[in-house]
Amino acid sequence: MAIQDFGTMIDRKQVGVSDDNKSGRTAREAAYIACAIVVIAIFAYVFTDPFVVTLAGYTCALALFALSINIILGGVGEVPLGQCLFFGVGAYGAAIGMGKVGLPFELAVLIALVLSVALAAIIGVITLRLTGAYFSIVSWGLTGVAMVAATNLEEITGGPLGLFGFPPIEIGPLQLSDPQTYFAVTATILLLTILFLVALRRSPFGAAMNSVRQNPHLARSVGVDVARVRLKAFMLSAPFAALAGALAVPYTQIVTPEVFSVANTVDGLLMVLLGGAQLVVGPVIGAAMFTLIPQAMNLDPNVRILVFSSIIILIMMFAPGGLHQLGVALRDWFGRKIDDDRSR
Amino acid sequence: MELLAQTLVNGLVLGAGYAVIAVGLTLIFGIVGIANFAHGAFFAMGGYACYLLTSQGLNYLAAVPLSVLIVVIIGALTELIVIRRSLYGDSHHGSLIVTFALGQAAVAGLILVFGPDPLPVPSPLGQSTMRFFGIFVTSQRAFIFVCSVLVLGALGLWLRLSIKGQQVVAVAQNARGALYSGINVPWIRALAFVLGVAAAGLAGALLAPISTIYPTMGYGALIVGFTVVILGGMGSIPGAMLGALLIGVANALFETYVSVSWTPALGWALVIATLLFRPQGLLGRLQQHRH
Amino acid sequence: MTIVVAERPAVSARDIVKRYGGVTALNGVSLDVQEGEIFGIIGPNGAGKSTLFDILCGITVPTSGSIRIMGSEIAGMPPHLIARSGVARTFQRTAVFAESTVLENLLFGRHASFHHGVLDRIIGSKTFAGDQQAFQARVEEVLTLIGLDGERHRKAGVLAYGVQRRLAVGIALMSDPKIMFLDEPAAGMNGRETTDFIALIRAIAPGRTILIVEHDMAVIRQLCGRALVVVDGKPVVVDAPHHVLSHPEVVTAYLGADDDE
Repeated sequence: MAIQDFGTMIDRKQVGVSDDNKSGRTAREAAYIACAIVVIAIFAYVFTDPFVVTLAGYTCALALFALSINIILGGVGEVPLGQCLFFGVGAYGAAIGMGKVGLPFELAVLIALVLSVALAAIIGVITLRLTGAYFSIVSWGLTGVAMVAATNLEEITGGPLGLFGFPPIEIGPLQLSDPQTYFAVTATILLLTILFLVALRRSPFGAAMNSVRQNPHLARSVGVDVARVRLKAFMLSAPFAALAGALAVPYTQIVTPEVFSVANTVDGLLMVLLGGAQLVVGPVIGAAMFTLIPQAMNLDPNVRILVFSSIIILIMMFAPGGLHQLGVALRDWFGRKIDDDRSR
Repeated sequence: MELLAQTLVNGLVLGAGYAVIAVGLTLIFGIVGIANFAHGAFFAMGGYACYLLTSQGLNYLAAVPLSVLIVVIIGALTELIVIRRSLYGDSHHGSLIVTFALGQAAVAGLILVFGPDPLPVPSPLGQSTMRFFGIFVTSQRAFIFVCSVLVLGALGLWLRLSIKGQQVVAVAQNARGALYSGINVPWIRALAFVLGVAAAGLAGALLAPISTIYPTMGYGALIVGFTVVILGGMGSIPGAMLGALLIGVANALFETYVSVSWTPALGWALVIATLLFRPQGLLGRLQQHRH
Repeated sequence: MTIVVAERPAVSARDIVKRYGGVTALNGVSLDVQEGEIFGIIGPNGAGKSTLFDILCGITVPTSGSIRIMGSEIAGMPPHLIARSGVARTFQRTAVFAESTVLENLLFGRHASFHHGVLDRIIGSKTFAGDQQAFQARVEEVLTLIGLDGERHRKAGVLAYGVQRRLAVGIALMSDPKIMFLDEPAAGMNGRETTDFIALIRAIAPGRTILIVEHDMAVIRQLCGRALVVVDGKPVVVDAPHHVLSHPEVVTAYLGADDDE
């Protein structure tokens, strides 16, 4: 590529013009997907340390949870402080279904997904019409209620000790107790989710969500039913969170009332903010960084909350767009430097 | 009928305490424009400051105003360093995330410094009981009630009569207009924030001897604060006071005549009922525009 | 300048009263705007004209009074449904979707004008294809009208102020509205931008009814057939701009205000 072309491209980027070359974009994206599949395959079959592979699988589940948060946060601009409600529904649904009712894993998960959507509908209808703060505080408060309920309804949920001792978890012929299978399954589901979210972003509903996030008044005046869009987005995000909760069970092998703890929301928020809420894969990047930080998962829970909350505050103060924002800024700065050099 | 009267009085005391918390929250929401999810943290800080001071030998009655002062300092620093920087124009979720994270960090910090167990805060008023017309009120409860009423009254007068107070009211109604009239809006916002969290801190210090202090005590205050504000109407100070009174009395009645363990559910039931049937609360303005 | 008289007014308000707590923002305002008119609403700051505007386009609910648009009562109708029935509005602040490109801004307007449903889209029916084509054509039309054809990939947030306002009008035009509400559209524009803007409104006015709230008297004088003056929540006079602006009460209310360009 001639330097002239590069410079022109940088100029366009600098004045806020976006690249809309459709066929070039499709080709690039196909390449990304192919790369991702190759990476997954390599990872699953090259790394033999079961600890690393299962952790990677668990990271995929957490990334899925972060993505569900971002459907709301980066999508319609609300803060779903109660998203771990659905995560817990998924985890308990899987555990109760398998352990108490004797259902196969897939069926238990399916039921949990349906339940989560219904729950989201009820909560959303009541809280989403009004100030965003109401939605956030009520959904947050409900996780507290859920935690208390899980602790007290001992017959169903195993009380404070939780549910454990599951038979080897399998989906059809796929044994999730095998690390590589576990990773392959979670990674595939994650990839499919990412593809779905990209398609969603480009769809008319995605545009509606975007307009609601940027400027609800203006969105209303072009005919967007803002309340309905928020509700649909919320109901869409719930099953992904529930699925993440269910997929975490083969890793943790236990489900306690702690799954409803607000600490999970802090973790999830951090993952989204680290990577950048406006990038579809931002939460995934955040989740990866999360588990890459050695011992990040093994900190004393209170130290963890303190450190992660502080990082969230720093991000919101200095770079609310996360790594995505920093990356774009870096690219622009770099491009400007080249431009300066070129013009000497 | 004595039980009823006793219950009502207890409810009033509760309501007074709730009112202080909720009015602080309303101040911040109405003037700074953010829903302060760290409000409970400042409530807890008030309680813990009180504990620190009394454990060093200071008399409780002196510890209370000092605790408020400590909370004021922390609040001012928070506003200066964090809050100001994270309010971006129309971004409505920036402040929510930041105050939420602040609250979480504060609770975690308290656990790490003081440990997770409840701690007692001694008060010279804790032992004695007073008697009015056949109703028993512990002196501490009476103290809480009197303090709350005095503080709320003083706040009301200040808002109405002092220059700064009137500026605060002006900013609440029309920040841009206030700016054009020469009012130092950022300063007023900082003032409102500090006042609001100081109220929470005061409530924490007042309630500490009754319920002991523990790191997550802020959650209760936060939920109560928002419940009252939702019921009374977001942005309305009289609404916050009315809502606090109603919830205080309702809680007391429920606890006495129905069941203690289900009382938290009452708050939630009231919130849901309000959101369903009268979303603007009892005295709030019908929100045409979401914040 | 002809006055268009139709059987029923395009926008009609009766005895609008709006109270906020103890403050009466509007105290009995009535007006009739005929189809095809460009109608101005002016008044000193705080006089209640923004409130009146919000009520007329259905965003705010009046304490009492009725508003009819094209003969139908709109009080209580959700704003997005009002939008879908042929009413469009621009806003004073936050006039555009700043993070999106010019083209994307216009594309957001699709919701008010599509006739197909989700099923149509999935099976790619004729209705869907027809809608798509009509919409693409519309986007090109509007881009040309507002003169932003070459800027279509620029982020709206980096556009100059006056250009953003043109984009805002473009967004409002996407649904081909019969009635447009423009809220202080020329605020902050310099002389040149204002002239261009007046030309734009003149170009899109045929077949539409336009209501404008404005401070800039040049805009009112050059565009509006009639204007209503609101002072302290009450209507003072409705007449052609040059009559209205020399009305004694209006002059008093505006004493000291800079009203001549």
